[in-house]
Amino acid sequence: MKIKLEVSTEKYNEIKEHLTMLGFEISDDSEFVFAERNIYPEYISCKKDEESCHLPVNDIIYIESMGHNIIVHTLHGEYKCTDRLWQFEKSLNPAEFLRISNSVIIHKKKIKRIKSALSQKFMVTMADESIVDVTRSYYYLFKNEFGI
Amino acid sequence: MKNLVAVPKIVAMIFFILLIILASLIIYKILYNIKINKQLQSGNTNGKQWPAPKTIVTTVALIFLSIFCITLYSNNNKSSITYNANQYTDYRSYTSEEIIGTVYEQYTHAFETGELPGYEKFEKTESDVHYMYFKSKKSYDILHPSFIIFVEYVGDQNIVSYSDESRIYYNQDNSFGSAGGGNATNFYCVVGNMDLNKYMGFNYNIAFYCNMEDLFNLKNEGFSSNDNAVARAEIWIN
Repeated sequence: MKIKLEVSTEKYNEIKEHLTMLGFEISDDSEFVFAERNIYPEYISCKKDEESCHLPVNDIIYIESMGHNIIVHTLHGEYKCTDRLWQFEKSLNPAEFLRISNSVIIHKKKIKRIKSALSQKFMVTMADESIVDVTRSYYYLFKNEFGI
Repeated sequence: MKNLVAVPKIVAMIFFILLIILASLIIYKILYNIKINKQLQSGNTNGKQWPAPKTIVTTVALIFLSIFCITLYSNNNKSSITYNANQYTDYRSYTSEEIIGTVYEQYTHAFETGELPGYEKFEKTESDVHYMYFKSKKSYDILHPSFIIFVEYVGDQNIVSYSDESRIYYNQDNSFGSAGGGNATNFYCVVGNMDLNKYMGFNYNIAFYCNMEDLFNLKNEGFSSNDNAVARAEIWIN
């Protein structure tokens, strides 16, 4: 049986050893997750050019949902993930990440510039010069979050 | 400029309000963006929140619409309650041909009958000129003429042209008026609408000529030099 581990780095190897001994296979592709409470992941599993890798969370600029694909944008390229956006919203540290629309989660510290639009919207320029929109549904959440 | 004056006041006011709303929205957006990014750079997330731009637009629109409605209402009331009739002073001169089809044509029957209810009649014939004028017995009101003058030449000369001059006198030294002339007609009518109590009086001069040259000479030298007139009359109403 395959299990994905979402535990702190210090305990990762110990727990992996235990579970392997019990017959579990540790795999990032698994739908079953063994997670530690109150722990935010430091890495996420994703793929670039069909090659699997662990991406540091701090490298993420924003995560975007496009159809069935989840694209993670960083300064050194784009990565694909299998996790859904709502899973990221639950697992990532809310002090660092904020959902701004039905399809985008941004890294709050990677915002370069914010511009208000005529309607209830903000246009956010990220560190890689991409512009993402804070939609009407998330407008007041965004305002409160940044105190603007 | 004439075209601008012709634009309805209400349309102009609406356009002005829209301009104000747009200007305030643009200015607010600029200031808001500056504030947001300044706060972002400082890392402060506990700043005072500004209202959304649409709140500003709504507020400004409501304020100016209220001012607009109050202004419109008070102007309408002002015009019906406090209209100052004394500001309206007008007189018009007509020949017997020009008066046809105007609102004053109805008064020409008074010239025929010599009667006009509500008016006091004055009549005189001198130097081949017969005139009759009717002066209102009531105090000034904008709907009815203050006076109506009828003048006709009753001599036996063949009159070809005429000249006339109307003047309103504030006092001995100050007056304003107009003059005209043209082909001779059966009679001439002057309708005045003014509060005569405000003025020293209204003066009407008319002269008749046997040829057009005398009229053209007059236009060059002014009405006072009407020595070639075969008949003239001066009427003073106060």
